[in-house]
Amino acid sequence: MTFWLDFLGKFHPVVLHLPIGALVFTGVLVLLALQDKAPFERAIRVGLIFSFFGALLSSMLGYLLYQSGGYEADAVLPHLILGWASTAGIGGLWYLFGRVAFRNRFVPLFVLVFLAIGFTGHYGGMLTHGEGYLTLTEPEEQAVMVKRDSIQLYSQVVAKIFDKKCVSCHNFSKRKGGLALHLPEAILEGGERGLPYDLSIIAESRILAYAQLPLEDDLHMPPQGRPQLSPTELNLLTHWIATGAKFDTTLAYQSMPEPVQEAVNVFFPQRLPTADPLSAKAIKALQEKGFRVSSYIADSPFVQVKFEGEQLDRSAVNSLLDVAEQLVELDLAQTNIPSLFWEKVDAFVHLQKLRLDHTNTEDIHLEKLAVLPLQSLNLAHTLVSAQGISTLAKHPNLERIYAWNTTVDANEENTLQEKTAIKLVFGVFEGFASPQQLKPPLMTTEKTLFETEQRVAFYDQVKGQIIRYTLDGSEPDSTSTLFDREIIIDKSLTLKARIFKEGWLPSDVFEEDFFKVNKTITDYTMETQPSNRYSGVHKLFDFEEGTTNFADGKWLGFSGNDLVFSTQLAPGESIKNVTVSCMESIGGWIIYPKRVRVMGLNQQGAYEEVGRYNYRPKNIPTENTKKSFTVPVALQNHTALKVIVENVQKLPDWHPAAGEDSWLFVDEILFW
Amino acid sequence: MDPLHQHFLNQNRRHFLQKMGLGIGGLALGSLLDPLGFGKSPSAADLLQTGPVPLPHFAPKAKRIIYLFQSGGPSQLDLFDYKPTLNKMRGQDLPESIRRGQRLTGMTSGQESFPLTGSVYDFKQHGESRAWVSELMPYTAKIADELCFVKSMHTEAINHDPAITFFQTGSQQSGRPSFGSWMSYGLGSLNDNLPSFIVMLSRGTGRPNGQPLYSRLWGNGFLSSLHQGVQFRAGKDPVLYLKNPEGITRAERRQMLDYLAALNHEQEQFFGDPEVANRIAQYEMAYRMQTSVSDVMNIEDEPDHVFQLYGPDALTPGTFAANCILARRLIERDVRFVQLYHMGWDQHDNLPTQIAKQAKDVDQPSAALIMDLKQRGLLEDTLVVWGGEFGRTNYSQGVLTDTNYGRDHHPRSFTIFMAGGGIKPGMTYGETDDFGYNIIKDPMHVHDLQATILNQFGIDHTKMTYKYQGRRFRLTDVAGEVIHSILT
Repeated sequence: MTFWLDFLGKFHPVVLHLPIGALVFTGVLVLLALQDKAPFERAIRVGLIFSFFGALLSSMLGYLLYQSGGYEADAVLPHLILGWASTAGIGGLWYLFGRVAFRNRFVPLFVLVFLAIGFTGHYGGMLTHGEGYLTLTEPEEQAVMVKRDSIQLYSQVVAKIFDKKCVSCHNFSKRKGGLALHLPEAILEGGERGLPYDLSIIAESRILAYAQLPLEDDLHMPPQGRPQLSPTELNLLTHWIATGAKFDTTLAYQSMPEPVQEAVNVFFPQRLPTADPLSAKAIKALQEKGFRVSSYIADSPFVQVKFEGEQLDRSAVNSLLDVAEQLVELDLAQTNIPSLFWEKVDAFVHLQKLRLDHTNTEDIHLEKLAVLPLQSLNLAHTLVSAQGISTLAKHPNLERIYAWNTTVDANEENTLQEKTAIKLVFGVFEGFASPQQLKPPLMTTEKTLFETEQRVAFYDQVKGQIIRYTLDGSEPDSTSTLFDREIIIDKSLTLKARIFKEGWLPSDVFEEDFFKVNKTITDYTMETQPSNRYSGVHKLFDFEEGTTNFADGKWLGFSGNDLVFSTQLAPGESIKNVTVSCMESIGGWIIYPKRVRVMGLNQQGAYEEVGRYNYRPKNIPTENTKKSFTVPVALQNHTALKVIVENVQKLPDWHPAAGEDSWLFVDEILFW
Repeated sequence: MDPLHQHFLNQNRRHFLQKMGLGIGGLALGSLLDPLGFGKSPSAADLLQTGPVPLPHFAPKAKRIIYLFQSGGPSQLDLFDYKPTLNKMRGQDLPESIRRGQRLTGMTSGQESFPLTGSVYDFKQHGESRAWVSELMPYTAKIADELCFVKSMHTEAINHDPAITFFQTGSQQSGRPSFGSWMSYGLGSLNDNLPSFIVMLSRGTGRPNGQPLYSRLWGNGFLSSLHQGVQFRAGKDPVLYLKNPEGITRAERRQMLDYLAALNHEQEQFFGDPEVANRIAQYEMAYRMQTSVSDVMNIEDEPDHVFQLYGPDALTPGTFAANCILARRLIERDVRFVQLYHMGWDQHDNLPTQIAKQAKDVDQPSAALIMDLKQRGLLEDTLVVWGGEFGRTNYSQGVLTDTNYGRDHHPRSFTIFMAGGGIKPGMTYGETDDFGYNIIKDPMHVHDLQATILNQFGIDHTKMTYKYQGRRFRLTDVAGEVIHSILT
C-alpha cells in the first residue's frame, strides 16, 4: 500500500501544473469579462471548477509525496499550507462567482487567490532547486590555468560531479535519505545510514555500491530515470575515496593511476587562446605569395599555413607576419628561409607546430624558438647539430623534435635524449631491417613447352639487378653466366637463375623445366569426357600451361573419372617419354592422379603396357600446386598409344570432404 | 531538394511569384544587415574553408589517413589475440555456452563438430607495452610500442562484401559514400594537383585467387562525384586514360579542354545540373594530374635504403610493399585519404601455410611505413589503420589435423591496430574471453571506430551530414561513440 501511495506521490510535480494553467486561463476570461460579462459567464465557471479539482488532486498527491519522506518539515510546511489554502481559495471563488458583485468583490478575491498560488509555486520551487535559486546568479566559471601538479580533486572534480548528478535530491532543503552532498560539512554529517563513503573498505562505500546496484533496485543511485554516473565519474569518486575523501588537499596529476588521469582530463578541457579574426585581404595576400592557408578550426581565427610556392622571399615572410598572431601551424619545409623570418620569429605567439625540414636552418636559429609555445618541431635534413638541439632541451612546451638526417652523430643521440624530456626522433632504429634476401627473378613468359626453340627473358624488376643462370642443372652462383636480354633454349633442359644486387642477399634459385616436344597431337580419340565446366580437350595439346588457379580456363577437369585417350603413331616416330601435367587443390577438391599408365598398340592389335608411374604422396598437401608426371616408355613398332591418368576417385580420409568424388585436373600431355 | 529538380521548378509561375515575395523581403533584410552592400567579395571564412561545410568542428589531431585494409578477414587468433586455452582444448567442441546461438556462414553451419584450435604459431610479448604478437609478424612486433591494438572490434556482417561495405560506408548495403569520400567532402583537399582520396590494390601471395574487390567500395555514393576515390595502379599507366593520346601535345590538350569547358558551361546554364560543373572540375584535375601523378608514382628516385626498409617486395611494382612506399609519397604531398587494399586473407583452409605468406607480404612494409612516417615527422598527424572486415573462428573449418586447419568468418571479435594521428601508442584496448570468441571488455563497434577516426580529424561524427532523399545521412548512420580512452 505504501508503495502505491509513494508511487502516486511522485505524480505531484506533473499534476500541479494543471490548476495553475487553468487558473491563468480563467484569469484571462475574467479580464475579458470586465467589458462584457454575459458571454464569458459559463466559461469562467467551468474554468473555476476545473482549477479547483486540479488543485485538490495536486494537493492530495503533494501530501502523499511529503509523507514518503526525505523533506525537511521546515522547508515543506509553507508550501503545504499555501497549497491547501489556494485549493480552498479556488473553491471559494467557485462558490462566490455569480453570488457577489463581479467587479468589486469577485475580481479582487480572484487576484488574491492568484497570488496565493504564485507563492505556493515559489516555495515548491525552492524545494526542488534549492533556496536562492531565483535571486542568486550562477557564479561565473573562473578561467584559471590548471596547474597539473596541484589538482584539487574535491572542489575541481568531485564537487562538480555531485552538483551535476546528486545535489538536486541531496541538498539542504531536500534531504533524501537524510543525506546532503552540496557542501563538505553536509557530507561529513552523513545520512540516515551513515557516511556516504567507507575509508576502510573502499568498494563498500555507499556512494559507489549504490551506483552499481541493478537499475531496478530501490537503493540504486541516482534513481532510475535520472542521469546516471558515468564510468569516468565513478572512477574519479573511487579515487577520491581511496585517497582519503579529503576536501582541501591537492594531488599531482602524475600520481594518479592512468584511468583516473584520463577521467580527470575531462574536467580540464584545453582552451585555445584568443586572437583577432583574419581579414580576407591578409589571406589573399598569403595565397598570392604561394602559401596554402586553411582554417585550423572552423569559425575560429586560427589558421595553418604551408608554403607551396617557388621561393620564400622577404615579401612572403612579411605577409606571413601579418597573420602571425593567428598562426597555429606553419610548414616551411623544402625552402630557403630568409633571415627576416628569424629576426621576427617571436611574433608567432601561438605557433604550436613548425616544419623546417629540408631547409637552411642552423644551430644559431634554434635559440630564437625558445619563446614560442611550440609543441612539435621538424628539423630533419637540416644542418643543425647536437649542440643546437640542446639549446631547446628545457623548452616548456615542446613534445617532439624530429632530427633525422641532421649532423647529430649516431653516438650523440642517446646523450642528447637523456638531457631532455622532449621526444627526439632520429630515424628508424638500428636493426629494424637487417640485410634481406631478394625475390627470385620472374620470367616474362610462362611458356615452357616448345617445338623448335624458346626465347626466355626476365622482368627488369629490381633497379641495378644482376641475374646469373645455368642450363645444366647446377646451382647458379656469382660466377655463372650473366643474363643479357634473352636466353635461347633449343632442347629440353632445366633453367636455374638468381638475382644478385649490392647490399642485398642473393635471391633463392628460380627453376623451370623446358620441354622440347617431339610430337604434336592433332588426331586423337577421347574415351572419357571431362566435366562441362572444365572442358575443351584440345587444351591438352596446345602447349598452354595452366596456373595454380584451376579456373583459369587452361585446365581440364574430371570429376570422379579417369582421363583416357589414344592417338596414332606415325611409322618411325621416336618417343621416349610421356609427361602429364596435373594440379592439386584441397579447397578445389582436386587431387593428383594415383597412377599414369601408357599402353602401346602392338602388331597383334592389342594394347600392352609400355610404361607406368605410381604416385605415392608423402605429405598431406596444404596449398595449390602443380606437378608433372613423366613416364619413360619403351616402344617397339607400336602403332598407337593410349594414356590412362587414374583419378583417386574418392577424396581421401584426411580431406575435409572425405568420401566425395575427387577431381582430376590436367592441363597438358606431352610426348618427347 | 535535389538541385536539378529545383532548377526545373525555377520555371514554375508559382515559384516565380513566391520568389518575388521572398526576394523583395530578402532584399530589404539584406540591406538592413549590410547597408553598404559589400556582401559580394568572399569573406575570410570562405577563403579558409577547404570543403563545402565549415569543418573541423574542433582542433584536429590528424590531417591525413592511410587505411591499410586487409581484405578477406585476417585471423586474429594467429596474429595478435593469443589464446593458450584454445591450444589446451585443441580438438574439443566449441561449447554452446560460448557460441550462444551465434549465426555461422553457410560454409560451416553444416559441420557436425566445431573442433577448437589454437594457433600453430608462437606468441610473445613485445616492447614496453608487452603487446602479444605472433611470430608471423616479427617487424610489427618490433614496433609494438608505436601501436594501439584494438582486440575488441566487432561487426554486424558475416560475409565479405557486406562486411567491407560496412567498414567503408557505415552500411552493409551498398550505395552510401565511402569513408574517404566523406572525408574529402568534409575536409576538402590539401593538394590541388592530386585527388584527395586515392586507392591502391595488391594481391596477397597466401591466397592469390581470393575474393575480388569492387570499385564501389571507394565510390562517392550520393556525394558529388568529385569525392570518389581514384584508383592508382602499378606499372606504366597508374591512372587509366590519363595520358594524352599519341600525337596530342599538352598545349593542344589545354585548348581542347578550354573549348570543352565552354560547351559544358553552356549545358550547365541550360540544365543547371551540378554534375556538369563537377565534370568540368574533374577534367581540370585530370589535366593537372598528367604531371603530378607521374611525379608521385615514379619511385625510381627513392634511395636504396628506403627499399631495404620496406623489404624486397618493394622492388616489385604492384606489391603491398611498393604500394606502402607510394602511400608515404602521397601523404608527403598531403593527400587526405590513402587506402591500400591487400587481398587474400580469407583462410578457410590451409590457414597455417597461407597466413604465413600473407603476413610476410604485409608485416615488414606496414611496420616500415609507420617508422618511415615517424622519422619524417608525419606520423603525429597521419593516422595509420591496419585491419580487415572481420575475424576468424576459433574452431576449424573442415578437418583439423596436426599441422593444418582452416577458419571461417567471425564477426563477434577481431583485432585491428592503429598508429599515429593522436591515437595512444603502446596500448591494447579491449579483451576477448579465453576462447577468443566473445568480447569481455571494452567492445569497439565499426561505427565506434569510424566515429573515433573522424574525431581525430576534428569532426563530430553526428554533425557531418549530407541530406539526400529527405534524410540527413552520416558515415556512422545512427550510432557510434568516440572511444576516448585510446586517444592521446
